[in-house]
Amino acid sequence: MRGVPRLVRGVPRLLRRALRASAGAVGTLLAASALVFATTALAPGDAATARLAGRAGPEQIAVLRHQLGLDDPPWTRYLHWLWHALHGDLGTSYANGTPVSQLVAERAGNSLLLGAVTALLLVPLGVGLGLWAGLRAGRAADRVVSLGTLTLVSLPEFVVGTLLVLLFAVGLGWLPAVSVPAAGQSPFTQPELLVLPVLTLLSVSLAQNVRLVRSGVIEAAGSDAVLAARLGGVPEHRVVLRWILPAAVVPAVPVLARYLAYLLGGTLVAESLFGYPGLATALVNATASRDTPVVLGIALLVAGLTVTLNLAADALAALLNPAARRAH
Amino acid sequence: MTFHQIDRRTLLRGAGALMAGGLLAACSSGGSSSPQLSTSAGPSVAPRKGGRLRAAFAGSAAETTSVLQATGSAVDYVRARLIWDTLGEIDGSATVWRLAESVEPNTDATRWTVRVRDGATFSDGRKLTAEDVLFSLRTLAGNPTTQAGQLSGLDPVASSVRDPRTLDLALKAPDGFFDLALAQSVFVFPAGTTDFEHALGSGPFVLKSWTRGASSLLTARTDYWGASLGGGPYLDEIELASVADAGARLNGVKAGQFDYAGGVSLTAARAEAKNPDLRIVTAPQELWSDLALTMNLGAQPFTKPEALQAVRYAIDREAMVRTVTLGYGEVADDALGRHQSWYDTTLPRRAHDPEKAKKLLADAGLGDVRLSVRTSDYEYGSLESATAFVQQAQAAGIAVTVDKIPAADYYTDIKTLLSTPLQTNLYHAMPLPLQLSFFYGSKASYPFTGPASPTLDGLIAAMHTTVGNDAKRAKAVHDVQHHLYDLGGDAVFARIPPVAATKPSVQGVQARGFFDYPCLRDAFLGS
Repeated sequence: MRGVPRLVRGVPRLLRRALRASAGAVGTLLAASALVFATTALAPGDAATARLAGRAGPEQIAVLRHQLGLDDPPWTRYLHWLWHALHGDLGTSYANGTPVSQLVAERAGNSLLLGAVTALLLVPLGVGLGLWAGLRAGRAADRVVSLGTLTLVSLPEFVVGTLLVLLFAVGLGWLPAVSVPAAGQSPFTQPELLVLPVLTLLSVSLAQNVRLVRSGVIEAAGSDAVLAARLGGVPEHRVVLRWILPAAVVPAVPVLARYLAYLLGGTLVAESLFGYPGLATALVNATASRDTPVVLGIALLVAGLTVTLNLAADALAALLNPAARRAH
Repeated sequence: MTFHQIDRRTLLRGAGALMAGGLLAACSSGGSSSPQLSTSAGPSVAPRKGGRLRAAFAGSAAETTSVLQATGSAVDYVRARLIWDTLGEIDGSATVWRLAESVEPNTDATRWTVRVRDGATFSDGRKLTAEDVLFSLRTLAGNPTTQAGQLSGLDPVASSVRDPRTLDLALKAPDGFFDLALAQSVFVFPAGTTDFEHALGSGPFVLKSWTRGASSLLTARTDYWGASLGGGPYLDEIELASVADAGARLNGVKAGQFDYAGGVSLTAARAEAKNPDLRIVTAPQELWSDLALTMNLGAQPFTKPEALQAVRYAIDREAMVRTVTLGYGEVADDALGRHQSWYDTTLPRRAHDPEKAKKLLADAGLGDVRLSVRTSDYEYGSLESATAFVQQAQAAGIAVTVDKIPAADYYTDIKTLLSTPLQTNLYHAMPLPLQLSFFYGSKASYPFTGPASPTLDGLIAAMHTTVGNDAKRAKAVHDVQHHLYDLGGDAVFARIPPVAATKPSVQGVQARGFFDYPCLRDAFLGS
């Protein structure tokens, strides 16, 4: 037994931190599932009334309720769901009888594509524009960027999206107004469906990120280290790459990570506005339909993504920032 | 009434024969100055063959290709109407038999004989017989489908096939209006079907591909049996898109992405009324929806008839039409189903009389009555009506507050729905005899107005046992309407039209009982 503590002490510190974080993540997901289930159970009505209320009689609703197993107590249903979920079976949709894993995978793929394309444009554009404006603080270029981003930040997504539709779809006819894939197709095979939703998502997120990076750059550019480097004759591009950029990007990383989680988890406004079949609208519809298995499936996926991305962001920030690394 | 979800649960008996050949029907009301809308009774040009129609309708989480769940969302319903023929349809107030050649009751309406049309075939060429019809009826009635509610009077075990073209349907109790139930989306599929998601149909189109929550593509049958009855299919293909947001559907038409969009808002109709590239269309008036304040006769203060009448006199119906329906609607007279042939046109209009309302309340000892009206923005018109009523009621000395419920919770909480003293309701049009039985009386599926009197139950029972010509049956319906007009719990104050947007080239779209789920069987693309 005396060897065990030594063994534990011998585990590399990073691995221990990863294990601790993973245990925390599993706990978070379990708690999230219980909370989501309890919330759906407490909501008025159930999947049977959501599907048939007002269109079929109480007898048909009772039959459907029995078929779906909704006349069991909530805790029994939760434990039943949890047992199967732990074995990789997320159940079937109450609303349409399709396996939840299939439904979530279809929608997650679409949301992932929309989020990934947005992120691929967001990160370089956000950092590049923020850096460019920050290094020109107070000059005309900075004022233009600041004014532009301020304008975009003040416009809600649905306003930007509507304006884009009016201009590029209704007015010019260049792009589809609605991003619904044709039968048998997907956004992967019809990339034109992504253009307006991506531009809409970019408008607000880009502005926020540019402003964040810009302020970081201005702060870093005035630091003692940068001043010393410049006085010491270090070339400007090296000053930017070695001191200013890391210092500016580090505070932006957690914000970016959270935004990425938001993007990948589905973006309700953009999806609704363009009819894009992503996770967010699926979640809203499933909630309205009291489709608990689908709500749980999507909630767990989004929660898992959020936890993972936040852990990754913490790790990245620690790697980029020695002080933070030591603090951990 | 019906329960849409983000445009899903519609039992919208929208317009009768909305042919997309003209503008909306004139909808002036009660002498108020209303925007003029018009409709046409049929296509204005000869049908043109070929082409693909692209149409957008609301979808839902319940989207599926199962014939047993085909009424779950607008987009599923429209698709189902193309794949599966039905026994019959409603056009205006009349039944138009499709797979049924004739439907006749016996002398006391306890048995109905259905004669199946000769020559109908499924899409694989198989002949459609009475066995298939009975199997479909039994399956629809025996599963938790929306049709099961209408078919609840059927005795599936005692019903039988007499010969390949004749069915004898036995009922559990006499019902002289069972023909209307048989015209409510009784989709027919082959006897012995077990895979209902891929059930064969005898309709004019077959499903070529489908992506849940997105689109479906249907191709026309070249051997469609129904072409001999006159009509389509004229199109080669129909592509249906599932788009939840009404504004997005309209934008799709404006951008040329779709040719037709179902479920457009009244505000959009007003904004686009003069757009030359669009046609804003709505239903004939007999299939507009009825807006009502529903009072529960078993809850205070509506146990007193004076309270019921006071609310009716407190409502300014003309103002409701002007503000809530943006002038596109019309006044309703405390009875559902105006303009249907079953409707009693002798029912007088109650004037807006807040002083009379005040007096009625004072006489009943209800001088300081306070009311809460339960509502939601589930569908346009309900919340707006409740808000307008708050101000109107003040003039009658009634203090009203609005209890706004989240849209998703409003109709799922049936227990509350059936016990709330005062709430808004939007009744989607359906054949009046079915509607009255569905919402009123002790045997009603959704008795929102609470307990029924023995008199009302007797009148409803008498309505169902009436057999004979339409005049005789209409009289029985009128008796129920009169009772509800005098003593019922619904203050039906306005009628609101459902709206769609279409490209001017689209012709031949028919509501056939369901404006929000139109029949595209005979649709075509004009020049």
